[in-house]
Amino acid sequence: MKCEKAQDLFSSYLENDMDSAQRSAFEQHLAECPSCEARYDRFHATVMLLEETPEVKTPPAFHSAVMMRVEQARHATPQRVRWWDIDWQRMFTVQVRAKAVAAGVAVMLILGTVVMLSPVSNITAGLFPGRGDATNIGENVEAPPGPLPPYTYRGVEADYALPGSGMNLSVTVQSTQGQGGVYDLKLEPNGNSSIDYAVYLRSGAPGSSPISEGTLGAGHGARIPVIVSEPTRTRAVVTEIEWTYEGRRHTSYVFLPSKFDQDAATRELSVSLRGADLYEAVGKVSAAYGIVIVSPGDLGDKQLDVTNQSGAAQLVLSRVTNEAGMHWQKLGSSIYAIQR
Amino acid sequence: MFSKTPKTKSSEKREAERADERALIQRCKDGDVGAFDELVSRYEKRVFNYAYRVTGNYHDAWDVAQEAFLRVFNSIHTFRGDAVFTTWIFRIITNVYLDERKKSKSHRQTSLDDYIELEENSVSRQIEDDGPTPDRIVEDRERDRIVQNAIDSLPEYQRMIVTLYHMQHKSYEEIAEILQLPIGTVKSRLNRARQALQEKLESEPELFG
Repeated sequence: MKCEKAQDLFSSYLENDMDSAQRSAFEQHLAECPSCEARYDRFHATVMLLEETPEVKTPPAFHSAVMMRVEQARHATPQRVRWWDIDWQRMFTVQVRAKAVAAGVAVMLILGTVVMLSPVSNITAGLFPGRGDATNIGENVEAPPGPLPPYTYRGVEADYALPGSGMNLSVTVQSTQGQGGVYDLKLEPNGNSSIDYAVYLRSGAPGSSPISEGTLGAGHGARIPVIVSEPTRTRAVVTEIEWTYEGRRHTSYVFLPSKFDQDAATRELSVSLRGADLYEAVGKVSAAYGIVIVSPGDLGDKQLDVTNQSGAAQLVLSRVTNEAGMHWQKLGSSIYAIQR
Repeated sequence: MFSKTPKTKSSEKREAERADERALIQRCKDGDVGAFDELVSRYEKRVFNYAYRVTGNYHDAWDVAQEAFLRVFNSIHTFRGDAVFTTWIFRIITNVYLDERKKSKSHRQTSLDDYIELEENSVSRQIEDDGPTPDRIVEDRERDRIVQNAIDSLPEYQRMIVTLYHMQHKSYEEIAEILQLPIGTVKSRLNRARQALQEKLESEPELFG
């Protein structure tokens, strides 16, 4: 028996998985080959070592973290926008502008579905209690006993007090992996008034029902998970938030790219904005650079005098907002707000 | 001669346990979250340990294990009562791990600073009955880290096979089922993995002292 052949049989010999003829040949080889014999001894020792490898303890908070995600999964209701909700009439009007928007919307809805659903392949489960996780509005979270492992929450987050409106918006980017973007929007009143609100998918069909609505009270907010599954870089998913504060109605848009790019600030791209109005332009910038943009809900429909833009996100955003008499503000990594 | 000793239980006891687990799984399928909570309790150590050994670090293990349980929750309605549950759950963890590997190429190393706590009833304790001394604890952790580093150096499938065989005590048949590989392949890869580990660990004399 050759050494190589003997080594191939180490495991079989160890596990007594050989017929007697083979075993004799093997033992004969070991008797004649000190190198293989020594090697086999160390092989045996290695296997014993592996067998003795202790278990590691499960982190104390692991169980609660799993159950919290399970609770999320149970309470989220998937809502799909179906093709029969689309207003086909409007889709094919002659107006160039409407067609541009509608065509984009159609692509989004037919080829992909925008599903508001919590359980996803969300690897960045930022549900470690007490670790600066902002997704726990109104949920009872117990602090885990014992020392905490060094777990880093991997989410990009920004808070924004929408000007003069009594509403605070938080955007958390839960996951940037895979094809889509997973976002958590949180609405909280920043005063003591209660606020009636509704959130729509603006890029859905006009007149569709809200994906979330209700009343916010002091210390009681709303959490709206939004997942963008359509991997397009030309359109952003736009959520529209409407609310009433002290008798006045407010609206705001949140442009959510399907592929969020935390390092967007460093990228130089070209974006075509010919013939776009402010709403479309912001959507394109959001989608192209992978940045989240919060804006007022009344952007007007004036066509901007910008054509093709190239450069970094902030530069292009500056040009677009200047054109419209507005300015931008950075809220967090790749999360911006535009204001008058 | 190394032989795998199955857990010494009477066959009645095993049958009773199996029936108990089937009932629990059925309750999970019926949407009983309390039952799922119980299932998590029963499996979290195995799931986390497998995830830890194949990912090589605590953080990824957390992510993989958590995602695995979530997938179990979302797809338990597809589990056929007559199939073997542990095989099914290990298939899921394996798929989560492979999916995660595809997405991120980062390979984080465990350092001694990572808060890894080993179970105190580990075999390496040997003769001291009063519990491990602090020195012994550090020794154990150090040894574990060396072994884990060696395991990290293996290719994916060998890593999974070693872990399933030696740490999860799965049989060749079960491993073949979990990884969807022919049994012969599992056996030869395990042999190769053991020898690769042997070579890696040979430079650490204190391990074999």
